[in-house]
Amino acid sequence: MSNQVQKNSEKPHCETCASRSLGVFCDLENAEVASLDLQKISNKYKKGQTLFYQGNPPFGIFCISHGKIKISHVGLDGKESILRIVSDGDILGHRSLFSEENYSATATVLEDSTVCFIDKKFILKAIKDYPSIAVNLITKLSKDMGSAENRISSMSQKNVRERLAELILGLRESFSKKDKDGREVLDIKLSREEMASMIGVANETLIRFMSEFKDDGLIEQEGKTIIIGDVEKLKETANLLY
Amino acid sequence: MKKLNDIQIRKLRNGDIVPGERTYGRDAVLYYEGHTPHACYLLLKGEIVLSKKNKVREIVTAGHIVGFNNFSDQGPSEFTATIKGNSSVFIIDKSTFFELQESPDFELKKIVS
Repeated sequence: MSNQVQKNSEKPHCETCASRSLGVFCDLENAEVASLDLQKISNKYKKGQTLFYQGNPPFGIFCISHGKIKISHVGLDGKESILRIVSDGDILGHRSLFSEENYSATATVLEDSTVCFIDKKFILKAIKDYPSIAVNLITKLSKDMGSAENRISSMSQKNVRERLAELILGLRESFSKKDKDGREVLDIKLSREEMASMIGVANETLIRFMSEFKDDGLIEQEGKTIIIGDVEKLKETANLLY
Repeated sequence: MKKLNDIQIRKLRNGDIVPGERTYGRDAVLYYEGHTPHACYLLLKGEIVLSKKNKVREIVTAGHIVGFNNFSDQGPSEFTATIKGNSSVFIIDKSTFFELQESPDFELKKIVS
């Protein structure tokens, strides 16, 4: 590199990144984080831009400094289904990287995001030098596997009402915030198609059940914004086992 | 844009510095206009389209490296680079770039100079 100093003063620094405590590098000391900071490449992505594409080869991992990214899979029939949504502190691409398989899904930016990229060689060297990274990666992979198993179970065993309640509670866990009136709102705007794909139903079915949820006081809606209503009733409806 | 000679490509192919040929099964944006590329890409087969404000500016053919200048300077790219499906590349990421810079082999070192 002809110049390793950050050219863009707006680019995030690992030491001061708001997501530092959330990610797999959270155990690193400042000097070690500085080495990571020099190696990473940060970019600001606009809504709709793509980080990686299903079927293409990985060569590093992505760290979400700030923003929201949807991970989706397109079937042979061309239908897209959203597998999950990731945000600040999450990492992407790690599973394909370590399994040495092509990406099994596409990562698309849901809202303007800042994402950092670290190449595989550096990650492998960092793991050798700082084993805590490996432990954190294993923990993350284990949690991802658990979530995937829960999802498979929900899709096969739960009815639409239960799946929708579970989805809203899941989004609440990751994206809820208080609005100026003190109401709990979901700080993420998903289209009907996107929400429908996340629970494996048609748009019309989603609309019908969202309407039922509003009538039952489980949620309110203002445009695309979902306001959480009766949390306990949502939990009961979701039929959660944990 | 940088074009590599046959010797350099052969050395990359036969060596162990670059991970190996990578094939893109479908069209993909390698990097966007205004972004710092994650790597520079030596096109071995197929096409890479360089566009600016959605207008095609150049079509890159085999033997050329795209993204080199911006990757080297870690600065923003003037173009969006889109690789066409069934194209193959060697990916020269940051770690590989440093290894090539340190390589005792003159031809390999020249790739990143």
